[in-house]
Amino acid sequence: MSSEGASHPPADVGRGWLGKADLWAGVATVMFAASTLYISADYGLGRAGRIGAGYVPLVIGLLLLGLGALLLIRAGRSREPVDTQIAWRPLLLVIGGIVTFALLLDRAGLLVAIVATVIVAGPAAYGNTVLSLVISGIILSAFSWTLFVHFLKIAIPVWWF
Amino acid sequence: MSVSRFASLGRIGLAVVASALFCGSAAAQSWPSKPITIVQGFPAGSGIDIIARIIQEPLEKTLGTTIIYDYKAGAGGNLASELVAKAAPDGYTYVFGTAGTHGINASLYKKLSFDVEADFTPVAPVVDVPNVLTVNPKVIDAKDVKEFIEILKKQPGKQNYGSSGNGASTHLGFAQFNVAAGIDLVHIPYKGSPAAIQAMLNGETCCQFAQLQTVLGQHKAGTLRLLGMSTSKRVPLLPEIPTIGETLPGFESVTWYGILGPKGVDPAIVAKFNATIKTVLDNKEIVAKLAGIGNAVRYETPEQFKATIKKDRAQWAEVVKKSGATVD
Amino acid sequence: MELFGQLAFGFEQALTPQNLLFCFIGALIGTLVGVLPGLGPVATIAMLLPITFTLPPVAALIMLAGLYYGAQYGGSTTAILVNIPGESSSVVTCLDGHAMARRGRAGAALAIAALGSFFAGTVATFIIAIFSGPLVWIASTFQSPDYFGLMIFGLIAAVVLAQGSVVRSIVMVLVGLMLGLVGTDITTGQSRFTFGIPQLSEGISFVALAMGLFGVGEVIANLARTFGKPEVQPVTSLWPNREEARRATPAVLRGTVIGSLLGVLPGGGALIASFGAYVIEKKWSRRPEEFGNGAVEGVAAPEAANNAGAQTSFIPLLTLGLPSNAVMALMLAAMTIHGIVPGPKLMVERPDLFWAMIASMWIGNLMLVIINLPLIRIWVMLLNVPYRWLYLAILVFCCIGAYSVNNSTFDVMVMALFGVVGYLLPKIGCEPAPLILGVILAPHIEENFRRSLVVSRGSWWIFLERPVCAGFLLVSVLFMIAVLLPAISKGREEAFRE
Repeated sequence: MSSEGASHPPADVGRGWLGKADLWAGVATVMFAASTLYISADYGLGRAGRIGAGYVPLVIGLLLLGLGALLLIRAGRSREPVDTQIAWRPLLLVIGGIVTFALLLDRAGLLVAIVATVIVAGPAAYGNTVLSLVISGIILSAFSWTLFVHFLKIAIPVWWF
Repeated sequence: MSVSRFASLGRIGLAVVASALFCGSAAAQSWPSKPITIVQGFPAGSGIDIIARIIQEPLEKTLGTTIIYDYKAGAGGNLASELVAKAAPDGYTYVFGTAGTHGINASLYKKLSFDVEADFTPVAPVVDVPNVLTVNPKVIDAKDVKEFIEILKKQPGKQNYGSSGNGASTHLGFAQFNVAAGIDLVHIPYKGSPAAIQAMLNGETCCQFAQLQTVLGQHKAGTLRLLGMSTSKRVPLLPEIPTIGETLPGFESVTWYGILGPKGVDPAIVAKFNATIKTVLDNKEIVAKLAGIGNAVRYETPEQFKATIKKDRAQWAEVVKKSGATVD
Repeated sequence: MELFGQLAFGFEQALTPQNLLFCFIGALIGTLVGVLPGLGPVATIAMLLPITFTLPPVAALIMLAGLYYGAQYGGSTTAILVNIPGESSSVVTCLDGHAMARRGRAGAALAIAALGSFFAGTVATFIIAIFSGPLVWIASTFQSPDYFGLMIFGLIAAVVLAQGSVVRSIVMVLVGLMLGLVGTDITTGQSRFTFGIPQLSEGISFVALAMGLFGVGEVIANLARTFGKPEVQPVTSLWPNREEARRATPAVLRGTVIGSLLGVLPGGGALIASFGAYVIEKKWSRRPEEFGNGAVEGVAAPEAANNAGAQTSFIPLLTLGLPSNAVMALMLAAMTIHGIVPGPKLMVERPDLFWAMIASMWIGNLMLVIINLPLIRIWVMLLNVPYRWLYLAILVFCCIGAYSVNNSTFDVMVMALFGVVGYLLPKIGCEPAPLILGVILAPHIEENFRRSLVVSRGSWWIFLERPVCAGFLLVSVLFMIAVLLPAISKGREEAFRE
């Protein structure tokens, strides 16, 4: 898995307490554990001979809570920096493109959804103009239709009707 | 709203009359003019899928259109039922329902967003799928149902029975058998029938209700023993196996597979589809293919099918209540 | 020498021009579809099942088997080229395969995967022919506690697998376990963590989750780093060099053994094998630091294990009539539709089919190499497409792939969510690989754990009474100690240094 932190370690992080990877990992873990424990609180623990649906979530949740706490404590003396640089533009545009696809597919069909996805996600890369995106959207639509609908015959709505 | 509803009711009424008189309304006459989608509530390759694939080609030939199977597995088949219950009743969307999805689930799941009777137009059942009481002879060496009950009565709560899933007909069928026979076994659900049969083979469970086609191979090899069919009559494929009803009079636990549309499908289309299915089920080759894997063809008119669903729903509700099975 | 007679008989059946053609078509279509993200062997076989009805049974099954291997291998291609695991078995291939591609060794990684798979396939074919009896006997004695032990062992392996901090990898495994519990609890039928969303009743779509965590996360990270300018180093050579070949050979051998053994077990045996093979390579390697940065062994061993496991997963189907995974369930359906009843008697009743299938496994593997070695050049050329266009195609194909698994736009949303997670995790020093293994193993672990206690009527001793289970748990504990000890002492060193 790629990690930007490895290639560009930001110079100013990793010194203060807030710049520790362990801190943020700990916070995320504790939050995740707490919410799962809360949700699974009434799933039922069962008894020894018939363990309930809530038993395993409880065990995992408690282990996570403990490890999260350990990470928080360890953050005090850890020197591993967190990568605080979040590339908002690619993140939002790429995710926005996928969400666009999900929202449009059932309503507008595959071809429109692909063009829209390409137009939304396209500006994440340097050098993509609106015109080039419209063109590549249309090419991708045509290609996807030929491949998925024509040849592979997967069940997917093609148009809005 | 009420006017248009009245009008559509009137249209349906007219259509019923018309279909009776002229054999089909205008919409029904041109049906099918495009591919028909049949949704399945279980993954590709399931027991239903096998039946669906066997009748696919002859159905397509008789109808003159393609049939597309759409797999929407989830929530014991409820995901597919919900989808079809809410689909447009244009005659091109159906669901492959079972005694499970349209009988058991109605009482097993408390929060269904649809009604298995009111929200569907039954078209026709296709097959009866017999469940068979199967034992691992190395764990319980019973020769017949009577001996099986005698052995188990001596060890209440000691043995385990498997099933292909919580609330599946293989589970509730056995629960029903427990009550009828007055025996006490512990239920262990597995994820799908292969896992359940594997567990029976290695002795983790002693026995289970299994859909006949899933244990034929083991029966032939003698590794598992078939004690009794859950059907009311013996199964033609294995006439030497008695029914459970021969030992426990009145016992019956069958599951069918059948085709249903959303509510409000033009009765003329329903009649036409039903007639097509009848033609396919009359085909000797198809009957032989289905019988070869232990299933019996089951043909009913839409009205009979509707009554079957009503009856089964009530019957399974009783079993669910007695067995105390729950979901959700 | 009866065996050779039977194998020869099988080859006689399989080597008709018609069967060879279908085997080739199957492997080719499988490869091409498998390369598309999200469209794995299950989707491919389901799509092409109707075509096989009109074929004679032997030809139909040979074609489906070809499809299966093809799609499996195609999935690895995508994993290596663009870091998208089309299915669970190629998750491990992503780790070092894609790292190799980034170093300009995409061609070598693909060639090693193809040749390693072929070798593993060849060995596994003979293993099936010779040992299917004893292997299936071992597998069929596995009861719930034994599976539980094995799965725990798999989890511990996941921790070893991780690169960085042990604590954070354990956290990732546990988070994965929790995510794997989403859906209907099979023991009680209760819905857990579904928030009333019916699409979650069967759990989180694995394909959507894996493509989000690896594929989408990687796309965002790449864009953040380069803004779409080319970044992959130019491909130096399409073939593995001598050094790479020397390092890959023993890894392939080890992977083959592990895959052949674990593939027989139902429920993800082949998958655990690929993770297991990777872990063993990493632990035994003199260069563990290279793992994750493009270690040749990290591609060769899991690919071999994966393919050998895919092959031996036919054993339960052929000898017991019990399918061990979704693909085998489809093969079973295909047999049933053709009026064949798979079971312990299959070998006696339809020796033509049984031995032809086994022979066709080897032929299918050969076809794969023949198809894929020339294709490597084309795949690698794809990497020369400017990234600002390539990533758009990747995104669109991922969306279609995520949708096509359950025909559900909800799954596309799930992929988007895990795309965010996949981008953010490395920033806090966490890795997605252990999380994925947790997701895969969670249902099996919980199910077998609870079932064991039902069988024992509540006695926890059952886990120690069964030797297989006790053995796995003991090895797990030893592994855990082996991992934790250096971590603890290292932690102390650091503490003293500060």
